[in-house]
Amino acid sequence: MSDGEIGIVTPQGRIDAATSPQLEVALHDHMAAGRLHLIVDFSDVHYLSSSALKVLLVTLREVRHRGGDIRLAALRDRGYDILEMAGFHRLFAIDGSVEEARAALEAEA
Amino acid sequence: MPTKTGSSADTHVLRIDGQPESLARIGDWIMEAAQACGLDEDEAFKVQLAVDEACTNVIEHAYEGRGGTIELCCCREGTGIRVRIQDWGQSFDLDAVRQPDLYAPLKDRQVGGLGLHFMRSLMDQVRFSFDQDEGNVLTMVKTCSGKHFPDGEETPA
Repeated sequence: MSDGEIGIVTPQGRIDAATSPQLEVALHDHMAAGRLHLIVDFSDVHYLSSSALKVLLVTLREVRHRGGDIRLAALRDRGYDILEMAGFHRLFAIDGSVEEARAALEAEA
Repeated sequence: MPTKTGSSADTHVLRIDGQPESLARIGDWIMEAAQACGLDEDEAFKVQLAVDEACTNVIEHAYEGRGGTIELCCCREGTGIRVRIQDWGQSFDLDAVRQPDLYAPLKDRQVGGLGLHFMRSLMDQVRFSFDQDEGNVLTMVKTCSGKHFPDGEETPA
């Protein structure tokens, strides 16, 4: 798989009900361009609420249905705690870094 | 509407318009108020998440995206804090919200109910009341128990 087929989204700061639509648009832009293997880089995210999780869940369902995947990379401890509280660690592949996520997606292909 | 804040030694008040754009300001305010009431930063972060979820419900469901006043009050209670969130939007029955199945496979996962699940997981008490004059009042209590972040590993339903 070439790099061009992997879409990376890099949200910043706080993902709540006000900002989660931006995450949704960024993910959907990749999907619209045919990139269904996606990485969300959380290294600059210090806060996420259930609004972010809803976007991730709906998008994961859609990309898996179309043969793709989303991997979540570089989550901070609190971000991981929030995903775990929702049981999302059982739904998503989670990697320590974007590089690891990229390697895993390339291996899947 | 202008944002109004007030505080005395142990009581902190914020009146703010119920719009998604207010959530960051609410988050900053509750982090500061909770720590001023004696919570450590980790505990205050959990309260922030519960308050954010509660206010998101008010903005999206009680006010249905049209805006309206939200009044927040944070005060000490015993060794912890009590947060009161009041709005004058549509009444809603939190008890009618189904607990999400955290073990459901992807195809069966529901997108709703997570916010309330967070509120109940992160706070020690969550109570809701409605009154013609008072509107919707949500009261949440956090005791300083040193409880760890809930890990979503409770017994499957």
